[in-house]
Order: sequence, then C-alpha cells, then structure tokens
Amino acid sequence: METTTSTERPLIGSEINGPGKAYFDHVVTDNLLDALVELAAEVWTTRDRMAVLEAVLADKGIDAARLIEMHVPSDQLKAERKVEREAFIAQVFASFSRRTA
Amino acid sequence: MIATPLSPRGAIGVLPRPSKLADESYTDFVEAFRDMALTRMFPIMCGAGHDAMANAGVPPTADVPLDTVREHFNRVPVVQTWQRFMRSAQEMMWRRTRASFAFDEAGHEAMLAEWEPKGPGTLSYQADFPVPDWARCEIHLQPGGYTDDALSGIVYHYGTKVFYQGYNDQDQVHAEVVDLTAVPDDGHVANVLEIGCGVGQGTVQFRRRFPDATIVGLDVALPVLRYAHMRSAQLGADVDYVQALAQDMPFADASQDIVMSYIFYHEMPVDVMNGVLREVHRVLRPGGKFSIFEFPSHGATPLPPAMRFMIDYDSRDNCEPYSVGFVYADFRAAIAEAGFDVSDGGKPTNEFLQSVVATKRTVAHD
Repeated sequence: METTTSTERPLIGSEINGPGKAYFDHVVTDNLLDALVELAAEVWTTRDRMAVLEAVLADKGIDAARLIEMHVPSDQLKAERKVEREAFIAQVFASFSRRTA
Repeated sequence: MIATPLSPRGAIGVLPRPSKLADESYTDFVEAFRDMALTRMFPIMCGAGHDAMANAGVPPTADVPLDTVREHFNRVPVVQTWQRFMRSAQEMMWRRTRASFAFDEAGHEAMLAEWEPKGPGTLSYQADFPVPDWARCEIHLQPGGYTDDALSGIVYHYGTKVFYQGYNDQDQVHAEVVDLTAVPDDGHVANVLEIGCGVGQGTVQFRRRFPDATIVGLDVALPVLRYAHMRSAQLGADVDYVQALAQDMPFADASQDIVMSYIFYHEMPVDVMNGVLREVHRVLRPGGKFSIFEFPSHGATPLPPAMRFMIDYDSRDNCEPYSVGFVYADFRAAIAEAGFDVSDGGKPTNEFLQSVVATKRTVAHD
C-alpha cells in the first residue's frame, strides 16, 4: 500500500456535526428519534442534578424540596431562565436543522 | 490523581471528571442508553432481520450476499431504529465529551507543554512527523480522530469510559491484559514495548508489573501521546512514549523481550497490519513474546446474516473503515506468515476478545 500524507488539516467533528446518517425512508423519523434520545438525556441530566442538589442541601440541614415549591423568581432570574430554555430547545431539536432534505 | 485545568472537578481515581456535573450525568445516560441498545435491542434486531428474510423466501443463511441481507434488514423498523439509536448515542457521547473538555483549550495546551520536559518518563516526537492519511479519519466518530485534535487524549480517555460501560474507569481492563501478557520462557524481561498505546492506560500498568524493565509506549498520534505522558508522569509512572509508525519502529533488531498490543489491528488497513507484524518480529528477540488482545477475526468462517449486517454497519456508520478487512482476515495465518509461532494467550474477562501469543523462534526454521 502506498502511504500518503497530507498537510491539510481535516475539519474536526465533521462526522458528528455534519448531516450524519439517516436510516428511515423519511428523514423526519430519524430527526424525531434523535430528538427523543437527546431529550431523554436532558431529562436524566436534570433529574440527576436535582438528586445531587437535594442531597447536598440536606447535608446542610436545608429542606430544598419545600423551599423550591415556595420560591418566587425575580425578573432577572426569569430572563436568565428564558435564555437557558431557548438554548435547551435548540439543543433538543438540533437534528431538524442538520438533516433537512 | 490527574491534574488538568480541563477537569476542574478533579478526578475519581485515575479518571478525570467532566468539567460539569451536567456533562457527567449526560454521558452516564448515553452509557446506559447504549447498553440498552446493545444488550436488549440487538438480539431483537437480529431475530427480526432474519424473520424478514425468511418471510420473503430468503433463508437467513451465511451464503446470502451482503447486499441482499441489507435490503431485507433495512426495511425492518426495529433494525432502522437500532441503527438510529447506536449512531445517535455515539454522536452524543463525543459531542458532549469534547464540549466538556474544550472550555479551556489554551489552558490544556499550556499544561501539556509544561509537562513535556518533566518526568518521570519521557516523550519523543518530531513536530513535522508525517502521519499517514489512513490514520487520520475520525475513527469511531471521535472529532479529529486520534491525530488531528489537540484534545484527542482527554476526549478519548473519557469517551472510552462510556464505551467500557464503567468496567474500565480505573484502567481495570488494561491492568488485566497487562497481567495476562506472556513472558519469555527464560523469564528475562528488560525491555517491554506496547504498540498502539493510545493514552497509556496499559503502558503505566507495565511499570507496575515489571518495575525494573524499560517500558515504552508507541503510537502514531501525537495528541494522545502528549496526554499519555502527562498522565503517566502525574501518576509517577516512569515510562517512555515514542511517536512512530508500528510498521517502522526506531528500535534495533531483537531489542525487545515483550511486545503487547490491545485492540489495535482492526484500526488499520490489512497490508499495514501485515507490515506491523513483520516489524514486531524484527524488533523482538529470539524467544521473545508478542501478546495480542484483539477483536475477533473470522477469516472464511461463515457468519449469520445478522452478524455480517452488524459488522457492515459498524464499519460504515461508526467510522471503522478498516474493520471489515480485519474481521474477514485470517489473522493467525498472518501472524504465522510474519515468522512467529502462534498459540492461545490467557483469556481476559471480556470473552469477546481473542488472545494470541506470538513467539519468535529461537532457532530459524526452513
């Protein structure tokens, strides 16, 4: 086998950030399942964080579950949560923009 | 303890933690999801594919052409879903792992550079080393592969934590294969070489097993070697790393007592593999032992359609471009062709792996 070497650096992440692969007759099915797994990962991540948070606070003698239910957010916190919510939606539904045809 | 600015949450044992709890939770999910796809869905997928063939009047036998297998399997919803899930999980794992360690690439680069001249152990490379194009693919979908991303070392290390499903968090798999590595009959072990050493998880284990020997890890990919050296030095393991091609090693004839490789040959073209085997034969001393732990190779053994479908999927869609060549090669014959006597090696806990010991003859045979 002839060994070739290139000086050109390939684009990093072209496999995971390009159009990827599709397995169904209609690409929307792939996108829906992609989104479903992504969403499930985010749901788990949040549940995991909640569990850690409550455990950490309980170690400090704080009843987080009760305090969370009674919390009233400030305008600033509302705005911050809106930004995060939009980023979350963009992440979960990213596959619909990756594969469009 | 691994000290890198890319893991501000520290390490658990020898495994760096992702930079955020959310990343750790996310990759934990991917690990469990992938396990579900492999252990629960895969048998169902195989059965459904075979049923689809049979229902279409095509007996699911080993002699059915792969194109025909694909045609029938790819119409089955659970087969389509299994492929979707496997691909999605792999993409998610690499995307999140890299993002988790990429928040301070300059800091990581500075730390790698700081550790390069430090010991114990050394790192040898040339800045303009000509890496062959065949080695530069994004293997397993890893961004930049092993060779083209400065973060490859730590990304590979944590990414494969997911692949091992928790069984290798503390390098247990590497420790086991090192413990199973064969020793020359005369017991003399002064020089030990691991080829395709990656981030050095096995290489550091050789220091534990052979405290008085010279231990060298060799790989073509500089980013993983830089991380391997930093990690080994931080762990206090006096081992040396060398960037080189395993088919063209900078070692004298008959200079090594032991050579070991772990899941290596399916990641190169078959003719390169044959060159590597010949080169190992050159550097190994008469009576030296070459232990090989590798994915299965089936040669001409007939395989059921579902197995061939999975092998084909993995090659095409998990960026394993050379695995098909290896899987259908007669690996033991290739080792013997390089001049070795071939025997079975000690069996690792992961029975999926083949374990082979290649011994360099002490007397030349005709």
